[in-house]
Parts: sequence; structure tokens; C-alpha cells
Amino acid sequence: MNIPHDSMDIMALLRGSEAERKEGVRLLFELEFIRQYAFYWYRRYLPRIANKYPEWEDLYMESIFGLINEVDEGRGPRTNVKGYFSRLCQNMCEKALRDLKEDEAFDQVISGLLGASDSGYKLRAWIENILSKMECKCETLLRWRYLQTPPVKDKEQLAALLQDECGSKKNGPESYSPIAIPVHLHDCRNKFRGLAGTNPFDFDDN
Amino acid sequence: MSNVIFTQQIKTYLAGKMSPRAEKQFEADLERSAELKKAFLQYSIDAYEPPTSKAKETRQLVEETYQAYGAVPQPTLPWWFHLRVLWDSTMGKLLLGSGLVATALVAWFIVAGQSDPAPPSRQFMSSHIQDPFCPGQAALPATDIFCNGEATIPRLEQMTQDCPGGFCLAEYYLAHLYLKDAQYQKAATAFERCITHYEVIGAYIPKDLDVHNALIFNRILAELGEGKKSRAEIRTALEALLPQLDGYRSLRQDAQEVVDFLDKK
Repeated sequence: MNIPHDSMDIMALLRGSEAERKEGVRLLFELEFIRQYAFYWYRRYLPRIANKYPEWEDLYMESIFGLINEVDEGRGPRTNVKGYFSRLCQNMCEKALRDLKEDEAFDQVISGLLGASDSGYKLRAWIENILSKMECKCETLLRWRYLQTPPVKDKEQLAALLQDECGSKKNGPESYSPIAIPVHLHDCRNKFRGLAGTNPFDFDDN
Repeated sequence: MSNVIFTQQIKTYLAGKMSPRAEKQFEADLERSAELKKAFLQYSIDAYEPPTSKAKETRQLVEETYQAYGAVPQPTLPWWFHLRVLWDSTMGKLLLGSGLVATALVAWFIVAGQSDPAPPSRQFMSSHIQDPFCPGQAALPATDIFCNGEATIPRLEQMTQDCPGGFCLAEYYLAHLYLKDAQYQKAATAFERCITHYEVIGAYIPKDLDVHNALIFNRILAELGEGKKSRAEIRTALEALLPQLDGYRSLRQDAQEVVDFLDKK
């Protein structure tokens, strides 16, 4: 494939005007080595990151997004774009592992606290309050995952519930597959944390 | 325990910097301690950084470009990428490790098989050199000097400086001295010249002596000592010579011994 610019030129475009930036992003998708490194690191971290990135294209897109963010924040590659991008992909895979671990611990913590008699009811009310402010997908997913007794952990079941409550027939054009449930859960947990930060839970106020 | 310590523990745990034992202990504590659970939840919420508006815009731009780009072809990885991926699995390490060991062994066998064994000893060479012909009565100065045991390499070299017609008998004797002195390269060249100008040597030597084949044999010995030709080439040359030595027992025996030597090594 003929690339009209070398990769350092693309970095310069990303730092430029809005139109140049758009062109820069488009050209990033043309670069073969970006695909190769994303695919390579994805393969190396499989199957540990499959819950966050079900397909290699997910890491590919996320790594492009990450690269642009690095450039926006004044970092980004100065000389060796390939080396920089490879390291970035590796870091993203490592971060995915940490995120998955955090998600797991978060699950355990929420479930544990909801079951605790001292703060359980209050916590439940606090979560309900936050969930009511969320979109259908996250509200449904988090409610079934955390507030239901017993909580629904099965991906197939969660996908069916999501499809039933928020799928194409009712609230939107989306369809949900079991393989994407961990990704949706991760996304919803993050949204939940974002909202929780603005509505802090006071553990000590009993 | 204070929240600061809890937070430190949580950070270390999530960064994957705990030892496996400490990690198990932490998970057990997390299961047991409501305080730690609260600290974890608090940390999880506090540590979460919602995306900035710039990041949201970037994500939207990337997603739009990706949609416009259509299906992304799966890249073809160079072979060493596949090896790295394979290396990451235990089975892959075993496979590649045994492959490397096998390759190293095969390479070693090939190299060991191809490399020539040690050259023949000087004693072996001396015992097989065919001595030059010495007439009962000396006819020429070179013959006189050599056959009376007065020849040295410098002296014969001096005599070869002014040979009429480009070749003289001094070179014939000189070639033998080179070979005895283990100067194999010079010996090989000198014997080659002797073979080329055999008519000069033959004029002084009785017809019933097989000096020509003796010269060829000596040249082969010099080449063996020189080490430029492979053992196989030397052997082929000797095999070609052997049928011509039927009437010359001593020479044939020497040639056969050299063949045996090559086969043994």
C-alpha cells in the first residue's frame, strides 16, 4: 500500500489543525505496522485480555486512540514511531490486565458490602440512586449483576436480559452478544465510578 | 489499620507488584475485612478519572474514521512475530527449545562431519616421500650436489635462478627438499613444474624408472600437506594414480597407505 507520508509526518499532522488532525487519524489507519503491532501484542496477551478486548480490532482501535491521546498530551513519539507504538500496545495490554483485576476485586467488594448488615441497605440505596441516572444498558447490566439476589454472573443470561430490556425491539437499535458482556460491564463500571465520584457514599454515616 | 495503608496495599495489589503469597493474603483480607472493602470501593471510585472532553472528541473521531475505513484486514505477521507469540506459551517454549537444541545438534554434526581432520604428521609425510633419482655417476652440478648430500634449499634456489630454457634439474631436487622441509605450497608448485617439464628430467633418467608417477605422487603428498584441497579430492587423485603403479610395488604400497590413511581419518 502506498503511504503518502512517513509516520513522523503523520505525528506532525496530529499536532496540527482540525483538518490536519482528521487526515492524520485517517492515515494512521493506513499504516500496516500499526495493525501488525496491535495484532501481535493482542496475540501475545491472549486469552488473558479477551474479556476486555474480544477481538484484535478492539485493541487496534484502542491503541490508535491511545497514540493520539499521547500526542495530545504533549508526549508521543519523537523519532521512533514503531518502537513507541509497540511499547504503547504492550502497556495497553498490561493495563487491560490490571483493569480486569480491578473489575474482579470491585465485584467482590460490592458483593461483600451489599451482604454486610451494617452498610448493606444504605449501599444498596446509594447504588440504586446512581443506577437510576444511567442509560438502559448500564442500569440493567449493573442491577442484575449486583443488586439481584442471587446476582446474575452468567454472560449468556446477562446478554439475554440486556437484549430483552434494552435490545432493538425496545429501547434502541443495539443487539448484545455474550462475548461482549465483560466489555459492557467494564464500561458500565467506569461510568458508575464516574457518577459515584460526584455522589460520594458516606460509609460512616449510619 | 489506617486508610492510607489500605490504599497503599490496594495500589500495590492492582499494580501486580505483590508477591503471590502476599496477593493471596490480601484477597483473603479483602474477603474478611469490611474496612478494607470500604477502602477498596472508595479507592476505586476516587482513582477513576472520567475521560476529558478532548478525549471524548478524539474517541469519536477515531470511531468515525474506523467506521468509514470499513473492514480492517487482518495483518500478516513476519515469521519472527509468530515465534515470539509461540515462545510465550509453555508448550511453545518446549517446542522451540527442543527445536533449537535439535538444530544445534544437527549443525554440530554437519560441521563436525565437514571439517577436515588433523593434517598428516610430518613423520608420516617423510616416510612416504618418493626420493629423487640419483645416477651412479653424477652428470650435472645439481645432481652432484644433491646426491652427495651437499644440497640445501638456498643453494638449489640459487642454482635455479639462471636455468637455460626456463627449467633445470636443480628444480627437480629442490621440489623434494621443499617437501621434506614441509614447505608444502612451494613443493606443490615445484612438482607441478617438474611434471610440466618432464621431458627435461626424463632425458637424464633411465626409461625403466617410473619417475613421472613418483612426481605425481609427491605432488599429491604436497597438496595433502598444503591442506587446500579436500580429502575427497586428494583421494580421487590417488585412486586415479593407483592403476598406473602396478609394476612399481614400493610406490604402489606408499600410495595405498596414503589412501588408507585418508579413509581411516
